[in-house]
Amino acid sequence: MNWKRILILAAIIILVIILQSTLLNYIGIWGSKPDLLLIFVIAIGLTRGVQDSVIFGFAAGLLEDIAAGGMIGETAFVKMLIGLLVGLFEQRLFKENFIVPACMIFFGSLVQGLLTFFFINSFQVRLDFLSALLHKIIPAALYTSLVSAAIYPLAVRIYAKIYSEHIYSRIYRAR
Amino acid sequence: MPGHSGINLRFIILIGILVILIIAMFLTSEERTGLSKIEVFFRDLIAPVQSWVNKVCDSVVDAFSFIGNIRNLSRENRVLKNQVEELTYLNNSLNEAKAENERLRRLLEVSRMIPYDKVVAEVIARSPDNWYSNIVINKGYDDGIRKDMAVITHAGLVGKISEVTKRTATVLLLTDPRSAVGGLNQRTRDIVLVEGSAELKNHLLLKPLDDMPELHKGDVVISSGLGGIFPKGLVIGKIVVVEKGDFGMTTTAVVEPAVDFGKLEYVMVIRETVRDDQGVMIIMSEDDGANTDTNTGLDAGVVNTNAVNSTNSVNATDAFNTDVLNANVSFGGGSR
Repeated sequence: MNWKRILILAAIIILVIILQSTLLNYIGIWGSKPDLLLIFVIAIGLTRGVQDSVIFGFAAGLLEDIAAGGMIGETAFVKMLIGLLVGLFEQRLFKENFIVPACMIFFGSLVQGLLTFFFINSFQVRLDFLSALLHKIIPAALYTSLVSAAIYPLAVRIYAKIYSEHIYSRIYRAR
Repeated sequence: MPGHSGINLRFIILIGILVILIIAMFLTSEERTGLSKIEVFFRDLIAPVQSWVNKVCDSVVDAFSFIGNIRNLSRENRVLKNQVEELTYLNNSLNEAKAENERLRRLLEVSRMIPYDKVVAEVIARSPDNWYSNIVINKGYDDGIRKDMAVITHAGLVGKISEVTKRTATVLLLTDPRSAVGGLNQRTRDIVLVEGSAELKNHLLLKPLDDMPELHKGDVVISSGLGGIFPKGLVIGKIVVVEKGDFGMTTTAVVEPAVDFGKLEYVMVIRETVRDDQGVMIIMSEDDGANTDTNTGLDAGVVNTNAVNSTNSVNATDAFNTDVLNANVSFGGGSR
């Protein structure tokens, strides 16, 4: 257990949640804003492997649930699952160019959107699938993968710094 | 083998956590009576930072929009001058209407003026995801905010308090898909249901409770007070589209809210409401007893109309008084 690292990662999650609920409202397009936290989950999955990405996804999702004021557990479930999927694929992917992470983020965002739709639909209110897909899920996925061009390399660098004391770290460098 | 059992154990823990999360979702998906201590702690922890970041963003946006607007300023100035003239005229006629309203009220002996208690709060954050329409305000339990209190602006109804922490509160906006408000067509007095919708961005869905509703584009919808949460007579919005369903059996309408939910900066929480004989919540203006100078409220209202994004909460309060009074003139008076 590296407590310093855990604290820094927790601080990153909280900071991103704060930005997500304030700053990102100003750059929303047609009511959709990018999900920075998802980019951080996928980045940790692609650079650090499955265990870290599952724990990080769970913690990030749970704190987001607590801050958001919806169901507790929904984002935690979705982000943990995405952390798991990305972490499992990690070793089979060629990650040295930007296209792979961007595609992962696009599909990760799609999966997140579909699962969120499913949970809200089954536990809270009925929503129309087609319009949710066209107005929320796809725009958010496109926007998130677009923004990841700037945020993903940043996330990778931050993780590289945090994990730098490891000799055998499998760090993927942005450049 | 130790390797295998390690993987199996991890797999079981993972499945266990996923199951627990689904149970947590199920337990927290309905409206809850209160928040857990962890939620209260976490939200109060991040609220000051959210407030600060929001302020910084606001000032940056303001600065940029100021630079962008310099060219338009002279044109805007001309338009505003015209507007001042129009509003001065309007101000005078409103003064007349107010005086007339006073007289009528005394005549009908319905002016049981009970002042209601309200508090001005600043919007410090919004829902971090795209699915819900929440705002977080900087007043909470310590300021007397409780769950289910109505939230309004000078323009009309905003939503209701859904969650309260010590120093913040979450407001479920009318546009949230979980929101449903009892409404009243101001023209026909038909009772309707106004719901938030995930599909209609920043618009509301109106469902009539009558079989043969008479809905027209431009009809104003106000709150009915029947739900027990929102006071009667607050403006919800205006019908912009009327849709006939299949076979003409059902009619729904799209309502443009009176409040611009994208630009909420200050809102007002009604900490107290008053019920009439039939248990319907009504709003009473405190203007009568407290404010002897009839011009003050109206002047403030006009000034505030010009400075749309006024950050002066005192002005906002005064303007609000005027609006509620007007609402009483047009809605409260005509309803019975």
